[in-house]
Amino acid sequence: MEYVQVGEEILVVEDLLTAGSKVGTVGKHYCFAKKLIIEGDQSPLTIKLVTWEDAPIIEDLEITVSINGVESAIRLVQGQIDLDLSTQPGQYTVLALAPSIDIGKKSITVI
Amino acid sequence: MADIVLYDTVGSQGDAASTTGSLHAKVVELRNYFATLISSLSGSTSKHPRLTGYKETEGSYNGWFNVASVTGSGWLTGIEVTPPANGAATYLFLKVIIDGTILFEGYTNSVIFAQTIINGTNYALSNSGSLSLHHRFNSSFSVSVYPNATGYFSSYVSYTTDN
Repeated sequence: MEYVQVGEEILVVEDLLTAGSKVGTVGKHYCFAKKLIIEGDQSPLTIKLVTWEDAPIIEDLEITVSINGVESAIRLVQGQIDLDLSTQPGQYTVLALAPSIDIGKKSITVI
Repeated sequence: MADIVLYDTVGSQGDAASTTGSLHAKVVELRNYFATLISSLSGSTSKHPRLTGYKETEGSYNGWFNVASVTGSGWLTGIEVTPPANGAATYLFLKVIIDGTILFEGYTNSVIFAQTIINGTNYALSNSGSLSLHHRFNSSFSVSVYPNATGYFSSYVSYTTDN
């Protein structure tokens, strides 16, 4: 089993075997090459853009943030941004979304 | 003299296959050719059936997900898809490439062929569905799906390989 990047995707590739002999290969989606992660257990949360192997990606990027289902556009600067939820206590489910990038997800309770 | 010419032309049963040799050699060549042809044509039913697939549980969307990227030779026989289940306006686009040629691709291209066999427009599937196919691949094929919304989705591909 090996992992190869094809475009924006990371594929996991396995040999096709017949009676122990390799007759081809089959690859399928494993993850995207980039992912969004949300760090922190209390406000502020930090949204970061990293590679699928967790290396930071230092670039600006427009993403969508969903907070309890309400979406808004937000811009990562140098690969990250802080999200302040401290003004209103409550339970939050936060999603960080962008095309062809694995989503970030975090559920927290702001006291 | 005539016997020698006749022998050179007809050859003998032990002659190896050849497109330019004796009659015996050409018969062997034809026999080998038809054996290969019959073997490849019967691949979809008599060779090695295989199944692969992908299901998304984390909710990623708006990107192409490669369900199967296969190298080798055989027959692509079926595709099953289940779009994201979070609303009526959610669907999967579908892309199939065989031997480097795009057979069809939703989202960017609209091809009448696919619209007649898939429930939806531009290959977008808003309900679970499956396609029965009979497409030969000689070196590779790939099947990808593109969900337009978060939520669980899945797709499975059935195919056979010649060996």
